Amino acid sequence: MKLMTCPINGTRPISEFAYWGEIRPAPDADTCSDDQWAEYVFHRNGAPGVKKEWWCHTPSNTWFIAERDTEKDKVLRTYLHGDDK
Amino acid sequence: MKRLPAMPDEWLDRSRTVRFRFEGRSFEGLAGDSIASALWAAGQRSQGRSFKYHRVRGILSAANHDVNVMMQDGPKLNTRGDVVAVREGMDLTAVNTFGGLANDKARHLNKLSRFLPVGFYYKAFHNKRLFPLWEKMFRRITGLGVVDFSTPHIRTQKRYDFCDVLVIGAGPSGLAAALSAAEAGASVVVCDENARAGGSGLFQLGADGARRQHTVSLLQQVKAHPRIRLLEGTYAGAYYADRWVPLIDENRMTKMRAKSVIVASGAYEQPSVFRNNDLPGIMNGSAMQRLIYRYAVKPCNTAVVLAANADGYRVALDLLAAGAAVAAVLDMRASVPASPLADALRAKGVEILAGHAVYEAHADGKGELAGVTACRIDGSGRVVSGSQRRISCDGVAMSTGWSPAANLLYQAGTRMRFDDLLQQFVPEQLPEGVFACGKVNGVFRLESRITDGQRAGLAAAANAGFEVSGSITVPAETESPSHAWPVVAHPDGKNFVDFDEDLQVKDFENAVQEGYDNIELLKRFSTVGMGPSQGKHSNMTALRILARLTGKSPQQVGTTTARPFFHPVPLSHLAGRGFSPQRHSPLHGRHAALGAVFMQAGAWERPEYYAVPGKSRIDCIREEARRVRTAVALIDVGTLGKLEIRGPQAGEFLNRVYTGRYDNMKVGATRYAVMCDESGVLSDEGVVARVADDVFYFTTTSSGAATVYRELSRLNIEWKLDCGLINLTGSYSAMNLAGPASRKVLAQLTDMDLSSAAFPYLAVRSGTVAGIPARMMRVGFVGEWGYEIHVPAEYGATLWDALMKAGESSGIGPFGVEAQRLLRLEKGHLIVSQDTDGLTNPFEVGMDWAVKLDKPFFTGKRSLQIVRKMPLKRKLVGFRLGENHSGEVPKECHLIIQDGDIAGRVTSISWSPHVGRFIGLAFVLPSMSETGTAFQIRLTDGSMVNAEVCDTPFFDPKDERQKEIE
Amino acid sequence: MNAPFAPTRISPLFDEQAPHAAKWTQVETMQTVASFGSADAARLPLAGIGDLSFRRRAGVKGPGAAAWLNALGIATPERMNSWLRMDDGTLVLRLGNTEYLVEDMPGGGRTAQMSATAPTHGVYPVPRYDAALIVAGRNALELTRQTCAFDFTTLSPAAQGLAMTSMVGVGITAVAMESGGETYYRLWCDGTYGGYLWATLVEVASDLGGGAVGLESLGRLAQQ
Repeated sequence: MKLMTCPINGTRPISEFAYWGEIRPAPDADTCSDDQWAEYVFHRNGAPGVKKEWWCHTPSNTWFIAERDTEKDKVLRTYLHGDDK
Repeated sequence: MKRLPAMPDEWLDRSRTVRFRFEGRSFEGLAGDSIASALWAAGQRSQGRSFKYHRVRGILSAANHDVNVMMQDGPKLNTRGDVVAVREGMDLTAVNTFGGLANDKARHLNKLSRFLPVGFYYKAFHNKRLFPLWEKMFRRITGLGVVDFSTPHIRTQKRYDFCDVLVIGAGPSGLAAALSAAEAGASVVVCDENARAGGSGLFQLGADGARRQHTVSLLQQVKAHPRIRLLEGTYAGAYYADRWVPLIDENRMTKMRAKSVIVASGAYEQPSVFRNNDLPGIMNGSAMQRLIYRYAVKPCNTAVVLAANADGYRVALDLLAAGAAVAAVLDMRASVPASPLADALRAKGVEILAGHAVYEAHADGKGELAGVTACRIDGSGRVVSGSQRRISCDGVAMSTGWSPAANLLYQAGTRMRFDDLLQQFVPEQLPEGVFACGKVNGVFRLESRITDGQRAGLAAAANAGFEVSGSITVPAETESPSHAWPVVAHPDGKNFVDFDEDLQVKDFENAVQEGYDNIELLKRFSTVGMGPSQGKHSNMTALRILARLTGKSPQQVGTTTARPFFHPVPLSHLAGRGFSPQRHSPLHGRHAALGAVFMQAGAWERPEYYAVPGKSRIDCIREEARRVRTAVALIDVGTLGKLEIRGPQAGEFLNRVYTGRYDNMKVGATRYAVMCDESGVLSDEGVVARVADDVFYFTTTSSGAATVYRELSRLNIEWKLDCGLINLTGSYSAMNLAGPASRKVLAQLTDMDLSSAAFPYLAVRSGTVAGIPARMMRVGFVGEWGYEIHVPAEYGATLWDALMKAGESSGIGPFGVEAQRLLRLEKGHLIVSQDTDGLTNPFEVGMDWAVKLDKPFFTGKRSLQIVRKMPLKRKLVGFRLGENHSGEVPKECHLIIQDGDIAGRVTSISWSPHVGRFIGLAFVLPSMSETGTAFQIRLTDGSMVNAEVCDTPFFDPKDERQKEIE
Repeated sequence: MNAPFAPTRISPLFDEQAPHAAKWTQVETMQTVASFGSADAARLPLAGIGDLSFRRRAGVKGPGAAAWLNALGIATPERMNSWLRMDDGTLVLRLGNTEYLVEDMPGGGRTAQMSATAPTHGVYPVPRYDAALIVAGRNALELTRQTCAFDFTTLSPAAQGLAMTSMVGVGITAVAMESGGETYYRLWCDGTYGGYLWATLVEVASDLGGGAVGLESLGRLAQQ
């Protein structure tokens, strides 16, 4: 089973985590067109590559960001929101 | 008897005889024998029948790389006779026979083989009408054992384990790798599928006593090393992500996580291909060596050795040392390389014939080996006609090549390349943390395997974080261990490639001719490699044949995907002990004592209703509901999600996550709350109570509690509002005291002012009830005067007891989930995910009033603005059936049909004693949503039921029950 | 309705333990099993499951939590995911970065002090209802191997680390402690899952020669 490293709790099997999805920039909800908003709400990028994603370590309710190469099935790094210097 | 004198590394305990039965006859073996070795020692060479043609079979690999000797042991199926230890009292039968092994009635299928070519079943049984007949036949004649349905369910103690370096295979290279890694400081686990470690280091000897010393010494050091755990009789079942390997032994499965994995699994000897190569007595050279050195069994009296490598020459020397005669060594290579092994054989008078092969094997009256016809072959492997020569023998050792046991390397994602010198696939690109050594890595010389193991061990330790120094180079192999074309053509066929599936060379020719010329297609059409041994003894040869037939190189042909498990894993091991988390409210024991019938609601167990002797379920539910409406009753609502948010921006936070406004609530008020996701779909609902300026206490649905808390936590990481979120779902107990007498009951337990002036409908108050600090809300879910009381969970049962006692004189009783669902339905309240689905927006269910689009932001706002501009596709309405409806009653999800098309569906429906009719909620087309509209509901059998739209609430539409009773 | 009385605290494990309990006692106004029977003492050295749910606990989290606790005289661990024991025996767990669980010894008053003190800015009280278990005996590690994918050998009593992980499908907080030279484990989980966790661990423990152990047989383990 795949491993994931929580920045606070360490490396654990992926069954201890919940996957939220890719972090995608949202258009300005007040000014964008209906089409742009629908695209943001319903479309997802399926192309392989390195994606920034929200993940949660559920036993501790720790949310963090993982950069994951979906082509190579490798997690490159994980960090708390705001720590990606 | 064919038992040899004691061998130095034999597995036998000669002091213990084992009596067992095979095919109805009694046999005797020694403790430590495999079933096959005990039978072989007793002269029983016919040990099974093949799958398709029911040909007699004997030992082939003696290593569980084939299922020639698959047996049934009482109710135990899938018993691999060539590796399973014989046990006192065993009662064994060969599988797949009709009337026993000796007189198998299906043996005549062998003569019909012309009519059963490869893939015949794809063509022969297509007639739909006749198929049930064929199916009956298949079920009778196929299958590898008979299931005993009274077999007890066995669960085993599945477990986890951890180490720095896992070494798979305890042969010379694996043992060397383990020692190197352990010396570098790593904690090491070495596993080996065999009963005893040592691998081929203890049987590929060529009668050279010194040769085994290398392995004996390594094994001694491994057993003595404090950082190494040696697990014999344990195989690695598969490779899963990030170095997770299930280790399977007789009793259970261990899920091992390693920092580094070294695959030292060796190689599978591939049987040579010639006519009748499956007669009992013909086996792999390494099978003969296993018989000699592990079980002290003489494989035969007179052998012909078919060789193409040094291993074959060692087999010949081992046979001579065991007292067998070697009639000839037929070397398929054009010339025999000079070697001390060849010299030793010649010195013992053994004839070595280069450029020779076995043309065909001959059977005696029992169908067992009696002799072979040898022949010369030319440079391309073609038989030189007229060169045939008969040799009498009762054993043939096949030693023409190997295939790496690379299953786990493939599963790990290793890229392999075909090495022309070695004539085998070797690892080219290994994934991080995965290492290979020994034969599976293309290293065959014994000394080199040990060096290769040391190299891998150091690399694995380094990968696990230990400091290592120095570098090791392994000398290249100079001799090929595998022949490129170990196949001899014969016009009459029966030259087998896959012994599990009875596939001969011409089957591959036919398959390619039919167009199945790609390895994946060839596999599926011919079924090569799909038998119980999953291609261990056949895949490489099949690949060579396909390459030659299509003019490609083996590299181009490629391999099929190796999938878990390496050997079949018993269901008892996979089942382990099942863990299904069960969540109980603090009041669970009280419910059980009151006769609750429980239902599963997610991980929670909740009382569906409380059973009363002599009363039916539906009557109990109706009585519970009646008690709520006429007296007083108590329900446990502790499964609700309960969250608290505190801080200066708590109200702002709630504004953003719910569709309504909460920062303008008065302290002491409650307000209904609806949550939508980003697409504007209803995702959860609850009640928000403002208990202080900067403290809000709010509820979610039971099933939404965990996800809502998690998601709200994430949102605040993004928004960084000045507030904190606390999950009280498990630490608070909640119960709803409801009914006209509820205030009277509660007043006995508290000093709080319960007048409707001081504690109005929808207010929240804090106080003490029965001495317990409590938060109470007057809510309207069931439509009666009532109090939802929240207390710390450790006092929940105490409070329940106090309320039940105080309510005795008012006729209090408990009510469960079903009664509550009926009561809320009478009030027209929806339940999220019962009356809504994955696409429902608030406008479809009449919740426009709850959506404050004038707020600057809330989750789903923009989507709802877009949706509001579009015409509604459906509306949730109340409905009722006819006044005296009789006959079947529609259920949730029955469809509403109008003009022959789907116009909606029922979401809730129930008999209402208070309304006197069946009532419900349903989605209908907006054009049908006017009160009084008649429509039809379609039952499962197609008949229609009449209904009409009506207003909600069905009961007490003006909420009079919440007003002060004067 | 003026009678002040200390209402009975009901253990999250009560329903699960009641059918097997031989003798009860009351600690901190919570009924606790004193003994499950004569086998208790023999179970502990092999694989004993003990129950300390009766101890009083209080939680707090937020950016101001550590300072708030310190101002009350409650020490807080320096490292994330670690624990300390104060001189009076009070146990303080630092859960992750900014959350704390404080557990009183019987008779202790720290948690009452926390409940009685108003939280200040950035301080969020976390009410708790834990099932608090002990897993002890020479087969304790093997028991964790059969129930949890986390390697308990990485928790050492000396390092005083803490792990939040999942055991038999339930979220737990785990620490390793030492008594008489042997390592044992303390686990906390949400009380609503407590009965299930208790029953499951007792079943696994009985496979390993042990089982449920009442308070009377816990000895030193109940005193620290």
